Amino acid sequence: MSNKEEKVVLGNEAIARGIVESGCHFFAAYPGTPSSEILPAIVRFKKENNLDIYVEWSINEKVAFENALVASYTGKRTAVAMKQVGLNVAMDPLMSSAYIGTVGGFVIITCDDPGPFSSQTEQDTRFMAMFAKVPVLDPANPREAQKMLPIAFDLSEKYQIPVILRPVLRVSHAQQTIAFNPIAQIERKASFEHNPQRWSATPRFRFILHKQLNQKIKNIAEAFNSMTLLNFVEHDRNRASLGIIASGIGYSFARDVLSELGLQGEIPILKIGTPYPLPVEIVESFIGKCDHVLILEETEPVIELQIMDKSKLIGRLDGTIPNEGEMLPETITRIISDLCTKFSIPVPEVRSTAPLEKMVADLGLSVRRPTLCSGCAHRASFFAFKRAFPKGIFPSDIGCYTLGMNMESVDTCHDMGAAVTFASGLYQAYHQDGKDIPIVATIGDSTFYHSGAPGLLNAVYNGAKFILVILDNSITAMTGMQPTPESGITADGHPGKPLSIEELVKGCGVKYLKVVNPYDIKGLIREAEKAYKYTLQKDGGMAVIITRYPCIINQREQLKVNPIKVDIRHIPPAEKGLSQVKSGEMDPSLLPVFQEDKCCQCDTCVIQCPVGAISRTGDDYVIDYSKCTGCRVCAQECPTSAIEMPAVGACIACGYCLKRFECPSLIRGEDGRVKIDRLTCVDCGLCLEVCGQGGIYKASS
Amino acid sequence: MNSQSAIPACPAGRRNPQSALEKMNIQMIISGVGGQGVLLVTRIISDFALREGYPLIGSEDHGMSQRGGSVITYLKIGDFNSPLVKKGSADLLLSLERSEALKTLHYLRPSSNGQNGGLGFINASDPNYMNEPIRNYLREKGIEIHIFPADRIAVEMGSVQSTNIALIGFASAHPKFPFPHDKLRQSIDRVTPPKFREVSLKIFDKGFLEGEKSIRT
Repeated sequence: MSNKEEKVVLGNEAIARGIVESGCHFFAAYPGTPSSEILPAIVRFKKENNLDIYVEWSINEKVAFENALVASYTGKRTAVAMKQVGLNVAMDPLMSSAYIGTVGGFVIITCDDPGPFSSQTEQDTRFMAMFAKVPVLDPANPREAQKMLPIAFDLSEKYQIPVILRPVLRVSHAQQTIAFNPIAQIERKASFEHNPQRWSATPRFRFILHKQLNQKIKNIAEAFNSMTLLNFVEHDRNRASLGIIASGIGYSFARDVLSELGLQGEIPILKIGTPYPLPVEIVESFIGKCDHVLILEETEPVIELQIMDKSKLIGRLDGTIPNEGEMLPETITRIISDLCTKFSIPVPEVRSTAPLEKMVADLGLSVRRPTLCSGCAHRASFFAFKRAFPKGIFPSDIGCYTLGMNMESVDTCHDMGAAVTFASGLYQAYHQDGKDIPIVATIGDSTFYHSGAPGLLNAVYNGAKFILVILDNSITAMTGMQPTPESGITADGHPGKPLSIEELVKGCGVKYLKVVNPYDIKGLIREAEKAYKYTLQKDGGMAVIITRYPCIINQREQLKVNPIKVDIRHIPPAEKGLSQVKSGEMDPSLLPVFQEDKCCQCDTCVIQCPVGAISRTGDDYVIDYSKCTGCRVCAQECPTSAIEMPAVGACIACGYCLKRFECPSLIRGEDGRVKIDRLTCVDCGLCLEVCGQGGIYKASS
Repeated sequence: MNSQSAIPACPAGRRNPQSALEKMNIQMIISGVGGQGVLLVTRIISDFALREGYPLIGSEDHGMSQRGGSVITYLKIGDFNSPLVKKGSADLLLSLERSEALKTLHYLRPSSNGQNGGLGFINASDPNYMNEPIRNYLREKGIEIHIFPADRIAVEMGSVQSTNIALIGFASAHPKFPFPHDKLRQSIDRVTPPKFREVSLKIFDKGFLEGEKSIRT
């Protein structure tokens, strides 16, 4: 190798490197896994190399796309990055940009998430490219992604068309050794040329632009046939019983699998870097030399569908490759090995790992689901709102706080901003029937800026009345702590203008707004009840509560100011005079007992019981002691103290805190009772509010 | 990444004589739970590979799984194209958590003759926590597993976050562990944040001593 600097970098850092090496002048993005690390890496290269590149975290993907697109009209090289579902948000400008085209190179980086690991869908951006009629490049690994970027910029400039680079998660989050190439310095001063017929074309001109676009795509497909850096055959031969056409990550897997099976020389591979438009000539010539052709592409049969004669094809359309989920090396190995056997190609036996997997599966190990972090303020908010409205409906949104579903406090999670619109739709649907129920929508601060505000405008305008909770941790936490507009810090760290969520909410026409510290759980429950009352008032309307507390991962020092060390008692204190309680057994003397004379028949106990042990028959309430876990929520919530139930002052293993508070630092011990995991506890003290038996107490330091 | 300069040429004769390093082709899995420092182990080994001039490709977990879920990293050093390790192909498994270790055990390479299967190092307090059938299966397939209470060592040395370092220290005492102890130590020195550097190196050395004791006897 040459003596260029080499580093092991993340795929997204390799992409960032490719962008700056192409002399890009303008870059915008909205964070989203698996794309979030591209922008910070560009900022790093900008600072290290003193580059003049404008970088912004935009409010959302559509905004990022349009900013970068129009900058390309001025002749600059520009790029935009997002995750695959982000492109849905930016689809409107993408469709139109294919017709209008570009001046300076404009590259769209859209990271797909087959699996999916961190997304709502497994959609294939290559289809979006085909739909919009723009070329798409599919890198096989970080190194190729870096190499493809200068080609993408050149292509975009030559044909005046946006170009998409589509890495999958296994490229974006792969690590690989790459060489750093010199950074191109391309001088471009902004120069917008007035041309209304193009930039603001009317439908009649759009027809002409469409015709031009079709011609461009035809020419590009033609050019791709001879771009051997992107599309080439490995181990070419005149006759092969089996060949592989592989695109992107499919190529990487194919190479490793063939090498492990010792079949590199036996099975030729046509590597496709440009799945759309497909270089038909080389594809057809390759197929002509093979008896059978296996197609390996992630995630949809984009190449397969573009090949007219499918008689030799093996892939997704005939069900050989699974049509959902990520392509895995073991699946590809099995498929290739089976095909070899079928076509009489000698292949070594693949050793099965199934017996060991079965032995481990039989152990029934629990699946470790992601949870909100210890000390996370969202946990306090979710606990409070569920406690205030046990039978409420809780539409939520995309972010860390989706994990509130573990606490039974998130009912829906659909797409960015849908917490607000789902809540207003739900309100209208119930209201139509004359029924008003508690609806509490939760949305994060960054998501609210992204696309929550239009939903709120709509809710206010159309008279919806529900509680909107903006969970404001003042950062975009899930994707790696990107700043929000509230902070006033821009992408490369220079100060911008801090925005105020309060002002934005008021600007949407909301009259009821409270800002609450969620660490005050009791106070938050009170505020939740007040807000609901407001929504029920005749002259009431939308109620917005901002629960504001910094992300605990981002600002750990917050908890060091006033740490609250808690402990859990496992034996009732002496003054209680109670015998030690065993796990899973409720001493009859500890069960809840109704005092009928005090009962006001408000149903609170029925609504609040987390296990549904209390029911109403006529004027009577019945407690099913076989269901009661002893959490004491009924006794705590009864407004007239009609339920008698002694507080043990110790953990009775009821599991209420585990179910409704779900803190990773509260774990079940071997005796079934809850204990504190000191390794992860951050001394937030929030769980003090949770235990109805008084088992969690503040330990003296 | 912390490394700043071009790759230094590998000084001849400095390698661990017992490991077959000359032509490195290693596939490995690092598993654990979000927050345990799986990514730091990955960085240390990446730094080592870069310094020694071995090509590396691998894959990391980001996003949702960082919030306390299962975390798995794949690393391949040598002539590889794809970032994932196939089940039954890993030469090496490092696991920071006992259940996650069981869940990723099947990545280790079984051998046909009961010798020279994959090699695994697991952080767990009970050396016999795996059941009899699993242990028999591993033995039959020549898969060698070492269980070591790395977290206890780390806590004793005053840094619970360094369980990962204690485990690789322990593993580096094994004659078949592919990365030489002194090189790995240099990578830890370069990659760990300054605040943890001194204690990390101490814990690494302690893990190594424990490894020498228990692996050799």
